[in-house]
Amino acid sequence: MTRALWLGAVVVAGLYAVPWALDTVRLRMLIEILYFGLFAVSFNLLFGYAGLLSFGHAASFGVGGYAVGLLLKHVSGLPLLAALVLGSLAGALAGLVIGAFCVRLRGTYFALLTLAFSQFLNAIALKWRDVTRGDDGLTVAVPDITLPGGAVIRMADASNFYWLALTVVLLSLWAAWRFTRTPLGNAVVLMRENDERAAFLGYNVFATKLTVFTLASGFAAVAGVLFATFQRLVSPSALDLPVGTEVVFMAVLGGTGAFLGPFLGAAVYILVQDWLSKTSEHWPFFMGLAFVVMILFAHTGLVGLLGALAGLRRGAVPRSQPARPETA
Amino acid sequence: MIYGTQAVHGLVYGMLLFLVSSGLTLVFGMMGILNIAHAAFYMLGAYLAFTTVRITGSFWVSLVVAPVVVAVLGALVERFLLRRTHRFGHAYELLLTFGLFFMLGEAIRWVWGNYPLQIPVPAGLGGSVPFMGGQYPVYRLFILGVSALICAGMALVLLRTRIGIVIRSAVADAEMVSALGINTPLVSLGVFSVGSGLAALAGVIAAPFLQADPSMGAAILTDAFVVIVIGGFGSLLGALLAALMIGELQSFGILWFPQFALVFQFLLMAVVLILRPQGLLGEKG
Repeated sequence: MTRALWLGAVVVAGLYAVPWALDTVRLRMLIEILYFGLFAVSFNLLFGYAGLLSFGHAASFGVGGYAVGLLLKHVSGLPLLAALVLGSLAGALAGLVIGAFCVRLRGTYFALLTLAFSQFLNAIALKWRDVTRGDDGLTVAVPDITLPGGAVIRMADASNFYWLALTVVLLSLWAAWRFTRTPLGNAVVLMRENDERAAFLGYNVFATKLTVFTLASGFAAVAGVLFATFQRLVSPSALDLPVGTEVVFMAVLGGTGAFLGPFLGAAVYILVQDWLSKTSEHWPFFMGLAFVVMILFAHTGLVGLLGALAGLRRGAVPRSQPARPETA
Repeated sequence: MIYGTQAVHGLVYGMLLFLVSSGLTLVFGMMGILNIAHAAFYMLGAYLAFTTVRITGSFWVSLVVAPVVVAVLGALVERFLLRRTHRFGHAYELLLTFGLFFMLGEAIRWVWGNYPLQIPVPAGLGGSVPFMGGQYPVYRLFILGVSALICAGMALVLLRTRIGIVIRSAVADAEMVSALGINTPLVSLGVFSVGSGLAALAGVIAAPFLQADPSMGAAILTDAFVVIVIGGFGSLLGALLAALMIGELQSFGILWFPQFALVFQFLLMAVVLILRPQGLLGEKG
């Protein structure tokens, strides 16, 4: 245990030291990996743990982004940290509302209803030009952080933004990880396997699934908030199908059977995409091909392939029985 | 007058949508798979039509070639990809078809370019005819005729033949049908293949009217989803009703509320999923 703690401390210290070792271009890519990694982990709270495949996970990501953009635009003097928290809460709230409709459904029905909601929000973001600026996207003005002593942390500096994003993402991952270890987190896995039995055992299936949905949406919104403040722009595409599908790619690529699998998937996805897009303009084809091959031959993802990685295996999502009956 | 024309516009698009949705809903009913790649098959049909017309100069040849090629492709996908994924559960089957949609879409961009391609209206179907006091393009009436013909043919096969009975029983209870000694995997393969071919056929007849466009797959995909959700998963008659509904909704929505035409159908789909998840005519909840 102490050894693991030491290892963790060294890794975290190493992560905080990264800006001294990388140039700005690579650092920016790393920031992208951080928030997309968190986004993919939040997706997997639904898919890997609760067995709910969402095609509309971009909804809360985008709501978080728009919320932080609108807050910073209309509330003058709002500190950045407060905006980050409020934006994330807005995403969680959207998740609570959307989830109340969605979590009663299962399988394909759930996937389609989440998709309908994200498309609906996307259409609103496109058409409600007065508020969202439609296609042009909403510019996000990011204020600097003023410390109590009067010192100012400039957010335009990529290193400063990296440290902020790293702190937020690490705290969120820690919170999400803690959640999966609670009795409620275990009940979610039980419901993935058999929600009728869970109901007979006295669990409130609806409330439990709704809690997970809201939490997952909240973490997705944290990622969306970081995305919007980092890019300094949020457009309807943040709510659209490509973002909602990218996160599915990342999670499956990394492996939905481990807590950090999707994070690994996001990192590999972004690095490979960067490399492929320089090599061929048709990189989405190869991404799709890799995805199909992955599902056919290694549906447990990279984590399944690299099963020996001790640190990742420790976070294994409880496995399901091989021959479980599924309802569509 | 404008309402009449607009209503026929809606009917034409609705029937086209039905051609695409019918295969999708039958496959879902039989195998429990929502085949997202179906929309890519539709798009492939349109592009194959472009190439066939360019090589042979005849639209009618493409009307045969494209559906056959895509039906074979569909059979290969079912036999060698989907069947392998079956044991991982439905979520992975859904993800697989999703990956295929992505791959095929990009492959089409690669081969044919990332821009719309014009396919000429076949000789004899150009121009317009007097219709309800105005003029109406002949080609749209042709689309209407062909899709109505296929719809009638499908009804005939499903309701009046032995294979139709087998398919309908397999939609209701595939395990039972299999226990009665019928080779259901083969039936699934056939339905999947024919469904893919129908999607391609819809793509071919849509091509001269909508052009072959790299975004046409994604556009029809969401519409077809809405159709099978509203109609009820697995129900052909439901798909027909819903497709006509969506066709008219879009046609009049654009006329009356151009801003919100896009929102309407998703709203409708969400309402149906919330209040009646099995859809208008579906049986499974």
